[in-house]
Amino acid sequence: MGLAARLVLPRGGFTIDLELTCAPGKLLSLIGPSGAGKTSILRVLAGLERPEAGHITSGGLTWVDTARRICLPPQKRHLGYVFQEFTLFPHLTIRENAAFAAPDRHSADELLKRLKIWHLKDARPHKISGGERQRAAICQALARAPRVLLLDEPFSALDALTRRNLREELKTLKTELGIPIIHVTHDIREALYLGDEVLPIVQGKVAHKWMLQFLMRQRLSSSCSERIDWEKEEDFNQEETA
Amino acid sequence: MIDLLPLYLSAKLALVTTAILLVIGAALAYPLAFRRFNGKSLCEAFINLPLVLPPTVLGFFLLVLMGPRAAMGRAWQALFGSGLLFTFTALVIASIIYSLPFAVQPMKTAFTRIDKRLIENAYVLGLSPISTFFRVILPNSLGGIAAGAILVFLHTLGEFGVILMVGGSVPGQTKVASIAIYEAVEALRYHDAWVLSALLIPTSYVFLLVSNKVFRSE
Repeated sequence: MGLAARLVLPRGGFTIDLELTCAPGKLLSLIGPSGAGKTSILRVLAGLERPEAGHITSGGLTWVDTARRICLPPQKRHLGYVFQEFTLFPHLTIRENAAFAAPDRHSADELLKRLKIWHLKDARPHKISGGERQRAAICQALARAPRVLLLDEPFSALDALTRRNLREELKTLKTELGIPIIHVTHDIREALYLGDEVLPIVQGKVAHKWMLQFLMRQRLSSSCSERIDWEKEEDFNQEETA
Repeated sequence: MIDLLPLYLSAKLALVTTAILLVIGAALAYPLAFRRFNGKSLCEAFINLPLVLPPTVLGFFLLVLMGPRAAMGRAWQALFGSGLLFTFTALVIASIIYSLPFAVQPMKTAFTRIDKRLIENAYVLGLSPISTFFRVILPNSLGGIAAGAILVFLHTLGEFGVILMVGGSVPGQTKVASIAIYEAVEALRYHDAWVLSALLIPTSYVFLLVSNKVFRSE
């Protein structure tokens, strides 16, 4: 009873037209170049935009069915959305932000401790680093126990080390949460590292599988230093886990 | 002994108008900032009309509307058993209309400046548009709201033409400071005019300073 969607949504120069499914406890990575329509897909899933045609079901509940004129507002979808840019509420402390939509403060506090930002609980978002803000955003999204988690390039604005640490934490969280997670990125390494399935998106459509193979080959056959970095990263992650 | 009651009336009128316009201004600024609807620019131009109309013209229309022959005046008479014109309530209604753009514009600007993603995040987190307004939009627009409140207060404090038309000069009822100063000058009581004016200047100046500070911090 995961998430299943079929979407048709005209964009500027192309039309998003695709199908996707994601089972509970799995992470589906949507990879593609900037402007491929990845964020629009997440916005439709979140209810921030309406598709021209299609349907979305989650956990047996119909969120969207254009044929039956059903389109639940974002408030009724009970999902978590970590935006690409920082969207913490600037007038609230990190603790208040995390507990913003949580049923109880305790669950939000536990997440802050889990993601190692408990010591920043009384700080305002503009006083902490980008990585810490993104951890707080993940806490905010998870504190309400969402049924689906949407991640829109959550690590794109972070430095390499912070990105690496957060990726590792997210990988651990993924199995614990047991909900469908849709993750958007333009970083093939991130997609391959996190995703149980990787869907290449080009101009709003799922590209052929050979595109993904091509991207993977590109990564593996790119410059030597790139390969070394990737290997270092694997080593680093293993060290971190140990 | 100089009668300071007009000063009290001016302050009372400015406070009541500001309090009411905070609510009306926010209610009008919200759709102007966030909604798309037909006739939006027409609505906005209508709200801003008092900025360009001579106060006597606005006062004249209000005088006719509130008069015993007009629907509004008749309805008031039927509801409350007394006329609306030349009462403190008439002054409040006139001041609300006259100062409306001073409340709506700063609030609309403050609302528009809020990052739309914050609002979307609130919706995704399950907040209704009303809860989002009170929990996200309002706390992040305090500067604009304060600026609007100060402008309305000062503008009402300095009103003359509109008030003269709908309120006349009933002592203790509608004779506010600006009217009292005008009457003192007409009666060659320059000393009274000096005192009342001298008391109004520092009040307005301090409020303007605060307003400028708020605008700068915005």
